[in-house]
Amino acid sequence: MIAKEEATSLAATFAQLQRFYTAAEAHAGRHERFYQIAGQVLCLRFAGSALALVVTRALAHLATSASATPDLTICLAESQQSGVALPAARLPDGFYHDADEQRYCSYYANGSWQEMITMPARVGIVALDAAAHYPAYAQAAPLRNLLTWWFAAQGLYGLHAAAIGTAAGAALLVGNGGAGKSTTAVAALLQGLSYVGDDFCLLAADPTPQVHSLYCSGKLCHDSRQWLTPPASTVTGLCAEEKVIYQWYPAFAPQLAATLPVRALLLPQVGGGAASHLWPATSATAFTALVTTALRLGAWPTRFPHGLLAAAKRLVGQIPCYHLALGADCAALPPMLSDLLTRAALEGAPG
Amino acid sequence: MSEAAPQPYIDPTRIISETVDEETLVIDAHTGAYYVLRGSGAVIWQLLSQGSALPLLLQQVAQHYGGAVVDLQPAVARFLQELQQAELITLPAAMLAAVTTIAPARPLPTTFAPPELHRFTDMHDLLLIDPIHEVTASGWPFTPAKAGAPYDR
Repeated sequence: MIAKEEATSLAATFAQLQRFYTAAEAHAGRHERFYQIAGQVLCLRFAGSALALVVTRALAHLATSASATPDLTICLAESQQSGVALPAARLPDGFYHDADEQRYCSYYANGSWQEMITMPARVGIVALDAAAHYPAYAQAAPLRNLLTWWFAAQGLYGLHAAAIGTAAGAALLVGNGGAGKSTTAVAALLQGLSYVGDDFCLLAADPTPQVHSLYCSGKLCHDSRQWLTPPASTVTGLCAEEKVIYQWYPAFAPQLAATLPVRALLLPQVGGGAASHLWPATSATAFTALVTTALRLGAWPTRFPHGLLAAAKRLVGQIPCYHLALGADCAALPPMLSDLLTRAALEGAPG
Repeated sequence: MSEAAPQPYIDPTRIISETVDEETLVIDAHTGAYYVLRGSGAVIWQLLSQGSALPLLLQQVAQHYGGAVVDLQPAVARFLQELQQAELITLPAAMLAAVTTIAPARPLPTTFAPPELHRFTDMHDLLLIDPIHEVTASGWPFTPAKAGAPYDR
């Protein structure tokens, strides 16, 4: 009989997932991919090939050469191809945190999708019943919770924000779903600007604010597809939350920026008028939007927001902040943002 | 020897705050509700965070705004009660009694912006759906010891 503490501690859960991965790898073989994210090397170690396609597509623009000493290794296995039975869920679906041992764990879909990370060991594990069950929204933003937890411990904070830019730097577009982040980011991409992300980016506030890319995917709702037409080669065939998911790599590879200095923060809102326009926002308004939208992404352990709040405060204290009313003139929007970034860089924003 | 004045308490395991310019964002990590404090609310919150007891807090607010304690007292008292009702602070009984027995207001000095507490609950549902469960070596669920105020005995 398993004692209660053995059954539900995250140490026991981690050991169980490690056994699952090891057995799956023994059956299906090891496949490794490496990615450079925010200056750190991430190794994705797959047991078999089935999960690699669905997990790595949105990270393709950050692929790098193999490293013997990655900063973080995430082991991924699924049951169907490997033939190894997925461990029974030890906990109900949800997020779990062991502060003493610095472990995070999440269970989804009645335990058929389990993720865990142990910070001191720099190891994460993802276990699924079948690669085909990795949902479309996760394919567009794979491993988001594990990476959010990992990078928050390194002082980099996941933002619910788009980021686009020029050689002068990046504009962060902060807002909840429907605010116009993706539409603005894709409009900018299609007109030649640099693209860091359309929905989720990493912020490093020190010593100067930088935004780091995680995903080269993008989502457009039906309305936005009436006036934005990405090339057919970028269509993935995936949909999430009634949005079509695109894959910008390799079609837009030269414009996919891994890191840019942040020059401005914009708070977009769908305006309804003809012309898009900007007007100043207070630092306090931008700060509240930045923090609350990031927290709404969920899965934030309560002790981490202190760092997020400090980083957000530092950011809004260093860059100009604006409201952005999005009009129907999508063609005029990227040049307007490009001009803004040039001005902000000239006016002495850090970088 | 005089007894130390009772102090307000802000639970650091539950309440997170940060001030930018003249606004303070306060997040209740238990409920997901967040609050924006404006006017003199940000100043008062900072004094509360430093553990200022009521007499000192009133003196400091009056000093900050160049007014008299007696003029500012009702607005500050009302604000403290709002914070208490929102469970952002815990006021010791003696302090609560003091703020509820304050004389009616006289006109406020023009330099004093009345404290404002704006509540937002759009994160509330999300936090209830996706809470982070804290787990210890003894597993989950467990019942953590109640983090009470120093005077909450």
